[in-house]
This record gives sequence, structure tokens and C-alpha cells, in this order.
Amino acid sequence: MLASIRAFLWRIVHLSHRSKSDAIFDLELEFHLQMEIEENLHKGMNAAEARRRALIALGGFEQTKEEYRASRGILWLSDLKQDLSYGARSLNRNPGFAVLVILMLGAALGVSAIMFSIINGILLLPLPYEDADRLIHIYSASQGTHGDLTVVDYIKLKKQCQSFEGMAAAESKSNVTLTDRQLPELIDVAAVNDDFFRIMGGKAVIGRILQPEDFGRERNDDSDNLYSGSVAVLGYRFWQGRYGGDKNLIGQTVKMNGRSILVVGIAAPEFRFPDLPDLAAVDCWVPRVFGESDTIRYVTAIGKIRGSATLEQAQAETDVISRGLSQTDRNWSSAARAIRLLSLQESVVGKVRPKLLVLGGAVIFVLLIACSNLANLLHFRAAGRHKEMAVRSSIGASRRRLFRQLLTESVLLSVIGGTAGLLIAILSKGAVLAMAPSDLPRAEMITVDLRTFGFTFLIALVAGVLCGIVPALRASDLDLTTSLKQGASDNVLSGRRGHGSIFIAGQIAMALVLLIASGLMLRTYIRLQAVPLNFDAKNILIINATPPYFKPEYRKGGLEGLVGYSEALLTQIRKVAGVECAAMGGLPIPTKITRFLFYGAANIQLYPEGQPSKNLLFTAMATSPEYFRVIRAHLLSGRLPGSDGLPDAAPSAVVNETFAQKIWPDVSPVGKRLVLTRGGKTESIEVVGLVADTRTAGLEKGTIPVVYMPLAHNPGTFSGTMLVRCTTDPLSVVPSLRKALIAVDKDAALGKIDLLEQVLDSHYAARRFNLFIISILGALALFLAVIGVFATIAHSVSRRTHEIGIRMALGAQRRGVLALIIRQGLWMLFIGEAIGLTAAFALNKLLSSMVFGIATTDAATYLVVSFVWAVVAVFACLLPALRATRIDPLLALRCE
Amino acid sequence: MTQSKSEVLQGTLDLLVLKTLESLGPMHGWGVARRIQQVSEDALQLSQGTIYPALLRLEQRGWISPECGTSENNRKVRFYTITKAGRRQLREETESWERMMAIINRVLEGA
Repeated sequence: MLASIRAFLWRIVHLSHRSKSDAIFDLELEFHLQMEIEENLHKGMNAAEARRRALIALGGFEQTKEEYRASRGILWLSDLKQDLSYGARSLNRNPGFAVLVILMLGAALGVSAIMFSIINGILLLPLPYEDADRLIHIYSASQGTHGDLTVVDYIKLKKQCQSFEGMAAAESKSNVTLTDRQLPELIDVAAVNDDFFRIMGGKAVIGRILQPEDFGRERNDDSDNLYSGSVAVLGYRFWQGRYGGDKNLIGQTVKMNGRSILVVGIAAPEFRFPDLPDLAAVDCWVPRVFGESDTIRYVTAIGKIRGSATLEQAQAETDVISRGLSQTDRNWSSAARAIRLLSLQESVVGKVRPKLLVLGGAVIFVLLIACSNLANLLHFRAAGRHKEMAVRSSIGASRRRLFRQLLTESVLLSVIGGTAGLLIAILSKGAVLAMAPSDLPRAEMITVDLRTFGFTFLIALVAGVLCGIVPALRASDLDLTTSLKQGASDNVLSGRRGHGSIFIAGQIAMALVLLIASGLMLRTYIRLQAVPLNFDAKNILIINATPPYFKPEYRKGGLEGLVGYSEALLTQIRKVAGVECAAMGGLPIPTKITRFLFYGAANIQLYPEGQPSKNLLFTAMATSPEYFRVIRAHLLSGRLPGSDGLPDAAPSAVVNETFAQKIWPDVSPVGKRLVLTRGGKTESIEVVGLVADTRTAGLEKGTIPVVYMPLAHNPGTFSGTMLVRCTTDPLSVVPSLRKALIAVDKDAALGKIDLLEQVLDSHYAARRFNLFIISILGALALFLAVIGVFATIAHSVSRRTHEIGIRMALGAQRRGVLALIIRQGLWMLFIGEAIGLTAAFALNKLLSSMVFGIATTDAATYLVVSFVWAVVAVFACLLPALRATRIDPLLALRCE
Repeated sequence: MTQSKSEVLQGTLDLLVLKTLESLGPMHGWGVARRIQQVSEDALQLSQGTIYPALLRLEQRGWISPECGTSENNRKVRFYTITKAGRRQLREETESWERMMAIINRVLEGA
């Protein structure tokens, strides 16, 4: 043992001395030869004879040298170099083959790399917070989604639950007016408890983070203000954006909702929470002491579990606590009975994991098709090289050496393919991210990093080895003499005829599954596009038209004050150049981010005249008269209020189709009346118009009944949303809008602006992304499988050249030959399609969340796709089959 | 195939080379080959060239050490000397050979 280790070390040390020891050995060998020759001369032979016998005794000069050199170096390293250069030269002789394989592998490995970086970034990488694996999202599951926790629940849980070493709570608030030396701006503020910065690992890049002394007992009576102290820590991005990274900001005071706040620090750039929807847009952090009197307020609660506890233990403890409390404490809301704990990572990515895994599965299919293609192509190529192998073997290459060299060649190909794939991944990463829906969690973590490199090369290596083993084994297994003899045909190497066909049938099946999936995605997207909008979203700005609510005149003024403010604002905005029309009203298609304040008055009832008991769920939207003109709603019958330019004398409402169908089926609603009761007073409202349904519930859910009530008549809900239709690019109008705002109230601020077009587009984004990825994979699978079919048939034809020649010589027609070849292809196609259809059917549930408007087992899609694929496959068979018919029987019979 | 044959003979050849160097003292490659041929009375049909890989192997394992010298006819050539480790190896190998021979003899006599 020791000796062999020593031997190995010797070799390593002597690597650098190679040429010197070569020279020494040459001398040694020369000496040996001379001595032998001298001896022979002594025995009486002549010079030539002496030399000849000496050489025989020595056993071959070159061979000895070869053996010596073989023992001397680190065998596999120098052999590897030799194999690589031989392989490279051999591939150079067949550039077409090499280019094809590299393209194939590049494409397949490229999509694998992209998919891996997506899955890695979203699912595998840990969240970027300190001790992220111990962070638990605490939420109320009663609404079916991950609702936030009420403050009261949070406080009680925090007091009693022992499994957590701390709990962070954050209440987010939009539309806080920030006033300083610049124009006022509406910002998003998060009020956090004293544990928040500690648990979430917040650090300050300038100044300090919130300290315990900031959390004084001082509370503001104002139910709308959040503050327990008067300091704030600004978010990094916000600080860069509004203050240009001005370091002197620390220690200055600004006003938030009229209240003086001291800026004490800037948070580190990585202290942001893009994955928690309520905290994603936070500009600034303020301290808050949450108390039990804070009813009807919600917080995002994140707990840090003790190292010694598990999630199950904590959940069990939480269940016990909430059950105990609901018995003793009537304040414990029913929602609390469903407090759930979920690891933060799971909470963020859990919903998207199944879809990503389905996409991952599709990529695996593509990889498998590519690998089986590689195996087949290598096999076919090896079959044609037996002469070359035979010659090398006769010079002295051992079978092992040949095998190793062939395997090196295939690994070389696959590694180059892997490099090409990584290049493709790097280049296309931008395009993929651009297509991704904006609510894809952790999308910023998707990069082509070291892990992706490692993964791709690993797959490439494994593929190269696995696919290359069998062809290399076959090709190096020769009976020397038979191969060199003329007349031996390729049949020696091709083995059983059947096994290549199984691969192809598998490829056809997998490609079919992906193509069916692509077809379903395409039809889904078409269905989605076909959903009628009945409004025009172009050039419409969505503005937050709530007044600076902290000012007493607005708080005391009630709903009338708000309506008055918005009407004044409308008047100003209409005067702005570039504005076509503007109106207050809800969004015709919902946005996921609600920034706007909703005001509602209690005790409002609205029902159709004569049907007070009708229990109908509907939306009552308060709109100013120009609303329908702004969104270009489709009027179906009747008229729109204010259409003659003047406000209507009596309150008038407009309803949509769904409402009309539900309440007054098959009858025109125009002229019918609704009864509005508010605070004891009753009013009768006439329905003057019927509009087509917009998508207030989104694109994919059905339409809901909507009643459009005039704003001026103060129906009781006010959303503060203003829609402005512009004649030109909306964003260019924004500065003038700011001025109009200030003309109404100097403290009025413009918040974040949205384009209705973007909101609309975000509804298509998810399906569009699915379509994009799956159809690319489907196309790739098609391309690869076609290559596979073509190559297999072509190879089969070249193998059977001899046989075809005989047939033709015996009188077979060209048509007969064609049929013979195609029959083989058809057989593979039939089996492949059968397997594929079965597999697609078996897997159909996987796609159920991705389709819209059609079933995952939609027969039409299955049939059409199978048919199209069959036609393509037949064409792929046709080309080589046609070549078969042009075989000259004489040539075929003559050649081997 | 030559390969399999040489695998069997490798170990034996090493033994012979070591023995030769121990008996004859420092010697060059040709001398060792000649000597083995003589002693075995030409029974071993090896090509002399296989000596050199064997010498290299022994050198790598530290059982012999080479140095440059001059031959009897004034030519420059490498001489090999057996080392202490080499002597030890030779002794061990010889002992195990003899043990094997004794066992085989017993079997042959007994059978």
C-alpha cells in the first residue's frame, strides 16, 4: 500500500521532468541496443544480422518506449489530453454532426439552466433575513386566504405563547402625507413594534434603527394616526429617490400627516420585504406600541420560534391558547379561532411551488428527449467508425483505451453543449424575467449563479457519460479480423434493430405531451383575450384623489367634505392640457394593490323598489357623471347621467347587465326604480341606463352585478379613486396634475401613479408567462423529436442499403421501398402517440390550475395536436425514405 | 493478448530484478536483462524491453535507486542500486514465494 502511494507521488513529482527523463531513457535504450549488437557481433553475425536480432530481442523499440512512457506519467491525465485532442480532431472531420449535437444539447441544457435558476432563486434559496428558517408567519386563516391578524389577537398570542422568543408586528398604512421642503408626497408607512427590527435583522446604514426608548407610552387619540413616538427610520430606496441620498437628513424633522417626525436613521438597502405584500412598498418605519384597545386594526405578524421548538409544537400551543381564550374572553374574535402558523418561506413561495414544479417537469421531458437523441446519434456515428477503431486497435490500442477515448468524445460534446446552454441562459434571462408576472415571489433572486453553472455542468457530464457508454462499449468491441475484411457490413455493430425505435417512440410520446400542454395553454390565452372588457384602458391614469385627510377640515367635514374636495379637484384637472376627461369612480378591473381609502357610512340599504327582501350581493359604485366617458363604457340602452352636460335634477342610477338580469330578468331595467335608505331617510332612485359588464371582479371570475350611483348624491361609499383619460402619453401630464392638486389644497400630495393599462395587463401576465414557457418547451421538444425520427430513419436506410439493393434488383418498385421504410416509422409513431396520449391524460390534473375556459382533457386539443404531430413526424420519415428509393441497386450491392 | 500476460509476470519480474541487483550489485538495465536471461537459461521468453517498465516501477516504489555512471566499455548509462526498502521487499517476497511452494508441494504429495 505504502509503496503504491509512493509510486503515485513519484509520478506527480516527475511530471515536470518528463522531457529530461525521456532523453535519459532514450540513451538507456540506445545503450542496451548497442550492447546487444556488440554481443551478436562477437557471436559472429554480420552487422545487419546483429542489429536485426538485437531489435527482436529487445522486443520492439517503439513499443518499449511506449510502455515506458505509459508507466511513467500520470496515465489518465496524459491520456485524457490525448483523448481530448483526438476527439476534437475527429469531431472537426464531421462538423455537421458536432454542430447539430451542440445545438441540441445547448438548447436543452439552456432551458434546464434557466429553469434551475428560477427554481433555485424562488424555492431553494433561503429568505434573506437573519435566521430565516426560524421565522414564522402568523395569520388568520378564517377568510380562506392568509389574512392578517387583528392587533388584539396578536397581543394576546404574544403574551401567552411560549414557543416564540419574540414576535414582530407591522401595521402598514398608505396615503400618509409627507411634507418637507419639497412638494408633498403620499408615502407608505409601516408602524412596527419594538421587536420588529431585532427579529427581522434590520440594520441602519446611517444613523440608527428604532430603539426601545422610541416606544414611549405616548399615544395619539386620533384613531387615524399611528404613532407612539415621534421618530422615523427611512427606507433606503425611498431615501435615495426623494432625498438623493442626502446624509444630512439625519436629525432633520419632516411632517407626516401634519405631525413632526424626527428622522433618526436610514435602513440598510437589504432591509426590504418584497415578498410580503403589505410591507413591499414601505417607505418609512415608525414605532408603535400596540394596545388592546386597538380594535379593527390589522398587523402582519411574524414570530421567531425558539431553537428548541418545532412548528408543530408552536401550532399546537397556539390552538390551545385560542381555544382557551375564546371561552373566557368574548372579545376574542371568531377569526382568531383559526390562527395558523406557516414558515415564512412557505408562506411566500408555497402557492407558486406546484406551478414551478410542473414547469420543471416539462423541462425534464425536454432533457430526456435531448439525451435520448444524443444516445441515438452517438450510436449511429459509432456504427460508422468501426474501420477506424479496427485500425487503431491493430496498432496497439487496448479495448479499454478505445472505450475511454470514445467516452471522452461524448463527454466533450456534452460539456461544450453545456457551455452553450449556459450562454443561452445568461442571454435570455432578461427576456424571461420581463415576461414573468409582477407578483412572482422572489423574482429578484433569479440569477444565473455558481449553483446554476455547477448544476448545468453536472447534468451535461452525466448525460455525456450515460448516453456515451453504450455506443462506446459497442464500438470498442471488435473482432479485429472481421472488421478489416471487405464485405463485412454495418450489421455487426447495430445490434438488434428494435432498440433505437423504443427511444424514438418515447421521444414522440414526451413531445406529444408537451405539445398538448402547449395547445391547452394557447387556447387558455386565447380564451382569456376573448373575454370582453367593455371598456377602453388606454391612456388612463389612476390617481389617488383622497385629500390630506389629517387636516381637520376634511376629517370633520364627513363625506360631503370629501365629495366637495374631489369635485373641486375634477374641475382643476379638466383644465390641464392633455387631459381629455376625468372622473371619480371605481376601477373597471381590479388591482391587486389597494392604495385607496374607502369610506363607508353605516346603515345604508339599497334594494329594488318593491323587492326589499331580495338578498342580493352587488357592488354600489359612486361615480361622477363623466365616468362612463372616461372608461368608454358601452351603453346598451337608456342614457348616461349628465349626458347633456348638466347634472341630473333627480338622482339617477345606471346598472350593468348582470344586475339587470338578476333583478329584472328579460326586461329592460330603464325606468325601474331603486330604494336607498340611509340613516333613516329613504330615497327613490330611477335607473336611467344599462351598460355592458366591465370586469370588476377580474378577468377570470364571472361578472358581478354593479349599480353606478351618482357621487353628488352621496350614496355612502367613496373610494377616492380618480381616473383621468389623457389625449397623449399619460405620464407626461403628471407634473401638471401635481400643480392642479396644489391649486385645490396646498398640502395635497400625489401618491404613486398607476396606468390602467398596466393594471389590465397584469391580469394577463400569469397566463402569458405559462404560455411563453410551455410553448417554448413544446417547440423545442418538437424540434428534437423530429431530429430523432429523421436520424433514426436515415440511419436505418443506410444500414439496409444492401438489403434494399437486393430488393430492387429482384424487382421491387420504388413505391414498395418507400412503403417499407415508412412502415417502420409509422409503427414508432403509432406506439409513441398512444403512449403520449395516455400520459397526457394521466397527467392532466397537473395543468388544472393553469388553464382557463377549457378542460384539461379537452378532446379537440388532444386530437388536433396529435394529428398535426403525426403529419410532421411522417414528413420527418419521408425525406430519408425518399432517398432510399433513389438507391441504385448496383451500387448498393457492390458496397458493403 | 500481451496485456494479460504481463500482468501475471509483473510481480515475478520485479522479484527477479531485485534479486539480480542484490547479488550483482549496482547494474545497468542491459546487464540485468542479460543476467536474468542467463540464469533462467532462456526459459523465460520475455522481450528484454519489459525490463525497463519493471525498473521504472521499482524506482517509483523506492526499492531501487538510479544514478548515472560509466559502463565497462566507457559509455554513459544509468546504474541501479537496490535500496534498504528494496532489500526488505525482496526478503518478504522471497519468503512468501517459498511458503507458497511449500504448500503446493504438500498438496501435490498428499493428492
